[in-house]
Amino acid sequence: MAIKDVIVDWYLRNIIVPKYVNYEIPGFVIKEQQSKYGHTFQRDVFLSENLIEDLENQFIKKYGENGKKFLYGVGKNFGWNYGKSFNAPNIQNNKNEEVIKTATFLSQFIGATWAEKTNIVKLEVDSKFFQIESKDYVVCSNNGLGQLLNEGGITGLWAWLMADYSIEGIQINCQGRGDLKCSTVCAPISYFNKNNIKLNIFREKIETDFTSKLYLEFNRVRTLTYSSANLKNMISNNLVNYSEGKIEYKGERYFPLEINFLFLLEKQVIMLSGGNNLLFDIAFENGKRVALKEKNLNISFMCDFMAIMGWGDLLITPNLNKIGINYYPWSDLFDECGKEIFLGILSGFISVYKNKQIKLRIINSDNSNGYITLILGIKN
Amino acid sequence: MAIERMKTNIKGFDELIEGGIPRNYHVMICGLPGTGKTILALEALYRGAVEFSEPALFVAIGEDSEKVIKDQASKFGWDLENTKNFKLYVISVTKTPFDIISDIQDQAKKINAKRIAIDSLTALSINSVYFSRGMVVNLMKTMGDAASDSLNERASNSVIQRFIYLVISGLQSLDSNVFYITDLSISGSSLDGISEYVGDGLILLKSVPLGKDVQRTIQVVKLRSTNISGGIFDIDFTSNGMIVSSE
Repeated sequence: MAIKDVIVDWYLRNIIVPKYVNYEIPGFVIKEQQSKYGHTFQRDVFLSENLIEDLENQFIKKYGENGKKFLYGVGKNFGWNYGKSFNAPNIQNNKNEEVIKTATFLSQFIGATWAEKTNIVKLEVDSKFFQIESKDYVVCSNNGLGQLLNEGGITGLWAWLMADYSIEGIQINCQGRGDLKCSTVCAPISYFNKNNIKLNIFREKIETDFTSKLYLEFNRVRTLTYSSANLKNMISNNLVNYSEGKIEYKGERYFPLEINFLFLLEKQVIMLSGGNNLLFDIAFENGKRVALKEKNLNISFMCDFMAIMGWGDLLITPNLNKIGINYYPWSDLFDECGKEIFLGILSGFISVYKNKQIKLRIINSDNSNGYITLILGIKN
Repeated sequence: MAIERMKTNIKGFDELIEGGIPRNYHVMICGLPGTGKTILALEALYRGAVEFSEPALFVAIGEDSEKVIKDQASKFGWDLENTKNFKLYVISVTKTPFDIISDIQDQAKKINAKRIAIDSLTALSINSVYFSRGMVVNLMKTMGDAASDSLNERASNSVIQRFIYLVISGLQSLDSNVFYITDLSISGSSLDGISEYVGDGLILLKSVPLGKDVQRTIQVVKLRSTNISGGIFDIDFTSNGMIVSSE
């Protein structure tokens, strides 16, 4: 890496990224940003790297090539919409130099958040070709897959910059498969056809607006009633490790993802028969795994944990008479999603707490107070 | 040795605290306005008077509070005026802090009260600051604004905290359980800054909208010498009083 890149990398990892993610607010994980509305914010949740690995492993195991396409499609739509949310300059309305600068910065930023190191191998705006290498990229360096983030996410972002959704991408090398580094190539389909490279094509573009007035209003930070758990305090007390935007807690690594990642996952999963049930089950096992690591699992832990991860203000009574959450994340895909990830994780927790299998469902959803409330009950 | 406990007979509540509050304990009832603090204290005293024949003294601060409390009680069918062993005593805010403590002691001894409630400790504390200001006003007149503001705030906090300790120690000489109703701020800590740390117990009441409904909850945060059923429990108000869903 050139000296300048080393400095930029250090600055991103140690100054920008830690400050960019605001993890001091109970119930909310917020990233401040500029958008077409001026200074706004994104709402994130911390998701477990193991959860995402399991998603990829199990969806591909069950659905084969369709599973890969599904995962890639979620990542690609997420990347596309992420670029859109920044109003990242694309070639439609901006000079090539501006786009190149943005692509370079975003690559370094993604590297600082999701990998140990990244570098751009090749970037050609005229041919819409982009290749990036990374070391220890989240998820795929463990499971050798990477359709969601390394393949789909990066492709979606590049496609936005090229103002061309038809651009596709593939991970041609992966550390998890034994290669020295992960390497993703994004280009028009013609490039891949010419080189006989098989793709996981996903054609359905799903647009969502991270910066709409409703998004900003429903996800606005509010004071919690039932949890005051603060990630910053937990870090100060060495209960969790925090480094370069990622949390580590009892062997699980968590990183923040803008909430539309969840919504796109939960919306697109219905294209696979039984996909929503599998999504729930994976989240359920993840919740159980986390809960089993707690010696004295109690309601306070569950409420505090979910608050720290950014889900909102959770109320659970010990007899499970009342289970509800205020300030659940919202996006314009909200009504099209089953909230399987949240329900699954929480069901896993409660099942360990009660020492029997309990699966939760949504009884009612309400936004009359200007934020999202979910009232939950137990599935019979 | 088994600890003697005062049963409240509030449905579902005593089960959270090994059957009742240890005798002569002083317990804070904290919450934002509208969370049920007064009703909880009223019911604990009323049921003590009616169901256990234990004399109860409910101390309300301010002349307007008598009607408010009687109206609240009537919603549950509790006729405070005609209930033997129950006395509603209203304290005027024009009294000095020391007179107030002395008054409460006198009233409690008169009826041999076994259960006392102070509604509210917050109002009493604010009253104490008002009187204390009069004692330092001459000194503040000689200071600049910033210095006097600083003294004012420090004096206020210090006066409040000392007053609370005085009240609690003053009433500890009585052979009674005492409930102190204390208001919380939006941030979740008491307005006086100290209530949650003093006393033998702390009951926290909360109220939050859950969709179109309002969910009220209760949590026994602290109660010495007691195995508390931990957690937050939902509460409802029926025509007979409060119900805690502890099962």
